[in-house]
Amino acid sequence: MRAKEYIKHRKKIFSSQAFFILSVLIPIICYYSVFKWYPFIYAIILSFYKYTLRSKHFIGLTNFAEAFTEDSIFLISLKNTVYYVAMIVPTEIILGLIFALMINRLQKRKSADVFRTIYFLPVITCLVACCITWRWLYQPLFGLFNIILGSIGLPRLKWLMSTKTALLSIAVMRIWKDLGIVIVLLLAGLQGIPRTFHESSMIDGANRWQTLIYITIPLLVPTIIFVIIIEVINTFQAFSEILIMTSGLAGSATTAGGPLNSTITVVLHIYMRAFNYFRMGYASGLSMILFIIIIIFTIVQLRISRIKWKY
Amino acid sequence: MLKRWIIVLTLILSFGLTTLAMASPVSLVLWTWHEPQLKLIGKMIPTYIAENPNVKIEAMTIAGGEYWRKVMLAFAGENPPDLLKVMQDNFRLWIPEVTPFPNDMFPRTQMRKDVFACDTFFYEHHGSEYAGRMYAMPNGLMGGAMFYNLDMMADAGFTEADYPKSWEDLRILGKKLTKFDSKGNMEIAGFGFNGRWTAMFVDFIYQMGSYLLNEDGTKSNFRTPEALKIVNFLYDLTFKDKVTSPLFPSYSELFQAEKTPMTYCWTWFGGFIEAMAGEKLKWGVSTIPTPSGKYLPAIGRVSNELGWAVPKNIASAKKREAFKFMKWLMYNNDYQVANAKMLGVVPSMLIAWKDPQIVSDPLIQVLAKTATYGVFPGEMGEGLWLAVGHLEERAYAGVSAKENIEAVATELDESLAKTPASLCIERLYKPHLVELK
Repeated sequence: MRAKEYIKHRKKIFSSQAFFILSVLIPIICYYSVFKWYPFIYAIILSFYKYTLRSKHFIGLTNFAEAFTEDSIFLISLKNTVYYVAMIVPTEIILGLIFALMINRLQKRKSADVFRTIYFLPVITCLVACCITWRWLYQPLFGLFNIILGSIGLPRLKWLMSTKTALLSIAVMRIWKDLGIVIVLLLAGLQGIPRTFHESSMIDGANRWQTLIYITIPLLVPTIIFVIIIEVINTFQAFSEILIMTSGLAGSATTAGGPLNSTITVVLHIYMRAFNYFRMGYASGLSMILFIIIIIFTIVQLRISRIKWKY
Repeated sequence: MLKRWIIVLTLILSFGLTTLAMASPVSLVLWTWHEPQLKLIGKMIPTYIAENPNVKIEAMTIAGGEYWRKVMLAFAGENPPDLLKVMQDNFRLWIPEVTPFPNDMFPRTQMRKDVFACDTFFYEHHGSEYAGRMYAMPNGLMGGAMFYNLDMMADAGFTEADYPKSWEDLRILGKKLTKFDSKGNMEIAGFGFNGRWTAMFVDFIYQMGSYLLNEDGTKSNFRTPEALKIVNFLYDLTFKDKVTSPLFPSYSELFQAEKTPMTYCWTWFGGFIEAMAGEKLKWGVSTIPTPSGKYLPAIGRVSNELGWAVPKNIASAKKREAFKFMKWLMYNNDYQVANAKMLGVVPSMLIAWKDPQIVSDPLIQVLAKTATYGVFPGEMGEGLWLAVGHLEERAYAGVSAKENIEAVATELDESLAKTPASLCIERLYKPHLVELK
């Protein structure tokens, strides 16, 4: 009798739990199905087609072959994207770590909150507004940066209008914009390190530098790898800042990704193929290539993070 | 008995529903990318609806850059608007998606009488594929012009008599109007044409009696002494004569900020300045300078601006109403005059030509003077604009004039190899194609 009641009770609990779980999951599953998985699967299918909104026919791997053999701009965009990631991610990690360590030293003082807020402000500011503001800061004649350079006797730079400095200039803006989130993540990692490690190292006679190199950074490695993965994925998908900061420069002469394709990134190239030339199949093929590149990077980084660090 | 009742009830229901459907107004959705035009249409709609209470029209703008993306996706999704603004430049994109004008409502003989250069722009010159049918509403003829800030010109001691007629005049006046500060930094660009290299290059190609493409539209025609001479002239203006600085913002910003007294643009710029700067900025206008100061062999490129077209994939009742609305606009003098003044065009509809507002409009008169010397190239494809668009970028990046024009030619050749400009009709140009009176 008792066993029967117990089973009934369990069933009741299970059905109410199942109902709750389903009611919570169904909207998320619907959202992901419609806006993520379906477009993703459809993009994979489209990448094997020549699809121009009006006609669609199967062409096998031609889109992938075209990307590497005929589309010179794709290769330039790939190179630019790798440079962009290489400029941004290490700089953000190094600067983020320095600022996180400084804020961490402030412990629970009020100034820690003030600095955290100041560094986090760009993260919550609208990207479009930031890009437009920075575009004006970079204006060669009237921009603040050149006014400062001029006032201290240094030569003016062309910033976004030069093929040599345009990508770097955008990277600086992006570092400024994302630094806050890197600081916050690293700070969380730092605060998760038990104080006992630092205290025992002090007792053993380690100075601050040695504590940082042999205690803090090794214990922070999992957080650093997490931040690197997130930032690499985000930076590989750079699009909005390039589009906004490079369209119509030099008096509307410069097309997005200019001057002379020096700032074109893979996602911007995909966007232009899809929505300027309406080559949806080819753009889907390029998206798949980008997806594979990001997956490879992520797997490598995850492999590194699985290494069991021994201290 | 029951059967009879069912038949009677069905008949009553169908009659009732048909009557209801006929009584409910036909809703039309109109898209444009041009905000001032939307305002003008917004003013016209109530008058039209008062005359046609069975119609409802909702007009909306979609920002310039997004417009064609949205239109193409709407065509693909088979949910286009009922009226959409179209343009000559991408004729190939929209023409297979729209309905030809019905001959009963727009008889060709009547159109010939009422529309400026009707055959040239609508029936003959777009290749055999589309000949014989009209696909979009005539709007007006637009071309390039020189714009002047009258106060800045007067301060520098120049009047209308000094407006440049030849390239040499332009160079000299540009140099005289340029001002530098004590450190040698440019303060005022005598001729601020940043961002206008593409349009100027195209105009100058026609001024030299040359063409942009070869005869069948499969290759560029830029490996010529004429093209190199033009590029050298643009380089000289910027780097030798220093009438502007590559570091300056666009011609439009320069003109509005009173950082240049003289610029070049297409004639839509007049309405744009008035909308942006109002009466504060007094401006004048003149024709584009040519190498010799004369209009022959040509003054530059002109375009026949189009109004709206009616998509194929809409209900036939809506199509009919959409065409009726367009016909009403075409023959409404108030609309034609306001539209011509706002867009800076010679109106396509001849009814507007004698209107005192058109006759006294300096910008339209400048355009009318030279319109018959303008080359209408038809559709040249986006590849041309992208390739020629890089001319200015390369110049600012330090590429030599010779290398620059070679790179533009190569880029355009690659684009034309994939998509030939089969609808380009620049070589059909003859000066005095039609007489403007």
